[in-house]
Amino acid sequence: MTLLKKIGLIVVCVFFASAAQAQITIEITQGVDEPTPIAVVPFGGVHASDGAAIHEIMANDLRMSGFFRPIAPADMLSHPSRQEDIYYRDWRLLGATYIVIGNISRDEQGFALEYELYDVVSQQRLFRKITRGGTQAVRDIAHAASDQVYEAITNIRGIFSTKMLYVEDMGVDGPSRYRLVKADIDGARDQVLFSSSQPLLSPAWSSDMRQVAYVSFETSRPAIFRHDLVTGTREQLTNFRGLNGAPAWSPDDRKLAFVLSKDGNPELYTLDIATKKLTRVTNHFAIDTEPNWTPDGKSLIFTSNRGGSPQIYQIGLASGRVERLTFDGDYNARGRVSPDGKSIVMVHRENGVFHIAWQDIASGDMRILTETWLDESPTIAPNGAMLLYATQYNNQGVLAAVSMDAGLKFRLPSKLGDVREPAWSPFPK
Amino acid sequence: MVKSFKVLVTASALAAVMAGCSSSKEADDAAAAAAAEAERAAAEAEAAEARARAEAEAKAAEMAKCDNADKVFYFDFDQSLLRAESRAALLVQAECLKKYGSSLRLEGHADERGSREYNMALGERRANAVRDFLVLNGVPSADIEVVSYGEERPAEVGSYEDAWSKNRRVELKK
Amino acid sequence: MLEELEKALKEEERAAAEAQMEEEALSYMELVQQKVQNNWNRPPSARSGMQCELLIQLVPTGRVVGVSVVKSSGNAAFDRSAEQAVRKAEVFPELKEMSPDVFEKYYRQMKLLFNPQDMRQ
Repeated sequence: MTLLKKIGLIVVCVFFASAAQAQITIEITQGVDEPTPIAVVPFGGVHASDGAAIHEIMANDLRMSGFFRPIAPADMLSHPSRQEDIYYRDWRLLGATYIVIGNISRDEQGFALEYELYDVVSQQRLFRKITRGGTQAVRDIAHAASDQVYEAITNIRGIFSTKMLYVEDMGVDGPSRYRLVKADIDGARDQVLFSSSQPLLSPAWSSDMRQVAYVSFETSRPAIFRHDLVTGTREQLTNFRGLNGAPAWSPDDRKLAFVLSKDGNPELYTLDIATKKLTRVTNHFAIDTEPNWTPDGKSLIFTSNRGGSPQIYQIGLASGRVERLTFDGDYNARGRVSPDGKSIVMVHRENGVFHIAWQDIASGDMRILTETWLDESPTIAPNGAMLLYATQYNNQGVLAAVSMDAGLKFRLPSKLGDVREPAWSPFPK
Repeated sequence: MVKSFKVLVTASALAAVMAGCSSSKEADDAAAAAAAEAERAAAEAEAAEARARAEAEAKAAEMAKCDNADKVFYFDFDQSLLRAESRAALLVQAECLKKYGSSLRLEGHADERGSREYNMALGERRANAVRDFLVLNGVPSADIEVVSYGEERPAEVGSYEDAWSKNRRVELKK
Repeated sequence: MLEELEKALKEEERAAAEAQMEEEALSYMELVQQKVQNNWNRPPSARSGMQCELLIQLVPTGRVVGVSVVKSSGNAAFDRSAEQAVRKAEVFPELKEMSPDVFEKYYRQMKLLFNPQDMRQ
C-alpha cells in the first residue's frame, strides 16, 4: 500500500477473487481545463460575408465563449467541405478535438449554410444541419450555427444570437456625450438608441426585448424613462424629487422595480406599467437600492446598508419579509440573480479591491470570479454560463467577460469612449 | 465731492472772515458762528460719508467673503458625515445665505469605486447632510434643491486616491 | 495429513503469488490515472457530483483499442469529455514492462470512474 501515498490520489480498486479476469477501477478526480481546439474550416460554395466571412464570425463567437480555441485557417493542412475529405490523422496532429465543415449556397431567400460537426478524437459526426437567412443576415446565419455547435458540444444553449446594451461616455461635453448603444453580443452592428449631453445610467431589457428602461439626467435631475425599441418612442415614467434610479423589469414585463428617495431616504418601489400604480416595497431608514427580480417574480434582491455597510438582501413582495444574503466581506452591492434562481453575482470588495463575485444562495458559498480591478455592473448571460461586466483597462472603461465558474476570462475590444453598464439581453423569442 | 466741500467751506470761511473784516463785531460773531456751523456740518457729512463708505466696504468685504467661502465639502469613503472644517465653512455659508438671498442647489457626488446606483444614493446622502446642517442653522429648506450625480461627474478623472478624494464631495451652487 | 499439508503450502504459495501480482498491478495505476487526468478537459456544465464510468480495452503495448460508457452521468457533454480524455491519452507505453499475466488479469479490460472533486457544486 506504500505505492498509494501521493496526496489527493484516490484510487479505488475492486478485485474479484476469481481465476478469470479481475477488474480494476481507477478513479479520475481532476482534469486540466483548457480551451478546446476546434477547426471551423472555411466553407465551400459561394462566399458570404458581412465584413467577416461566416467561418470567421463563428470562430470569433466560439473563442468569445472562452471554452474554445479556434484553429487558424492558415494552419489547416486542407480545407475539406465533405466528410470523405476529412483525414482525421491530420486534424489529430493539429491538436483539433472538433471540426466544422460545410457549404454555402444561394437560394430564393438569400443564403443556405449546410454544415456538419465532427468529433475528431472519436471520429464521429455529432450533427448535420442547415441554416438559412437573407443576404443581409449573414451574421445571423453565422451566430445561429455557432449556437448549434456550442450546444451540441457543451449541452448548454448558445448565446451568440443575443444582444447587449451599454452606455458609452465620449468624454467631451456636447449634445451626444453620453450614448445608449445596442449591439450584437460580439460587439458588431452597434447602433445608438439615444444620446444626451447629460448622464445616462442603468439600462435594462424587458424579457420580450421590445423595451428598454434607463435613467437619464436630461431634465437636469435623474428620471426613469421607458424606450420602445419597435416604435422608437420614449416615455418618462418617474419625475419624483430625489433619486429615481436602478429600474428592473419584472419577469412578466408588467412592472418595473426601482429606487426613489421621495419619502426621505432611498427605498424600493414597484410601478405597474399599465395602471401606473406605485407600490412601496421597503421601509427602512438605510439606503435600499439596486433591485433585481428573482425569476419566479416573487421577490427582489437589493443592496442595503441597513447592517452598517452595503450588503445584498432579499425581500418577499407578498410577505415583506427581509433576509440578508451576503455575509462575506464589508461591501457587496448590485446583485443579479442567475436564470435558474440558484445563485447571485455581485460587486464585492476584498482587500480594498472591487471584484465580481458569485454566491450560491442556498449554501452561501462565495467565490471571486474576476482578476481585474474596479469591476462593476455584472450582467448574466441568459444561459447562465457566463457574465459581462465593466472594468478599466489602460485608463479606459471596457467590458470584460468571465464564465460563472471563473475558469474562462477575456476582455472585449475597446471602443472610442468609456464603455460601461452592460446589459445582456434575454434569448430572442 | 469732499474736495469741493472743503473748498466751499474754506471759501465761505474766507468770505465770512472777509465779511467780518469789513463789518462790525456783531457781524464778526455771526459770521464766525456760521463758519463754525458750516465746518461742523461739513465734518459731520464727511464722517457720515466715511461711515457709509466703510459700511459699503464692509458689506463688499462680507459679500466677497461669502463668495469666497468654501462651496465644496469633502467626505471620507462610503461616509456622509460632515468633517469639522466643512461644518465651520457651512456656518459661514448659512449666515451668507440668510443675509444675501438663499436659493441654492446642492450637488452630491461619490468616487468611482463600487456600484453606480449605490453611489447615487451615497451622493444624495452627502448632499442631504449639508442641507440638514444649513437648515439647522436657519436656511429655509424650501430654498434648497438636492441632486445627486453619483460617480457620473468626477471633479478629477483618475483611478487613484488623489482623484477619488476630490470626487467625494458636495458642491453648493447658487 | 501430508496431503493436507501439501495443499496448505500450495494455497500459501498461490496467495503469495497473487499478492505479488496485485502489487504489480497497483504500481501502474497511478500513471494511467495521471495521463487520463492530463487529457481530461471538462465541459462548462461539469459539476462535482457528476460521475460516469467507462470500460476500456487495452493491448499489451499499452494502446487503447476500445472505449465505451457503461454508466452515464446523465450529461452527454460530460460523458463525451471522459471518452475523449481516454482517446487523447491514446497509449500507456509503460505497460509494456508489465508481466504478461498481470496485464491479462488486470489491464486488458479495466474501468475508469470519472468523479471530479475540483469543480463547483
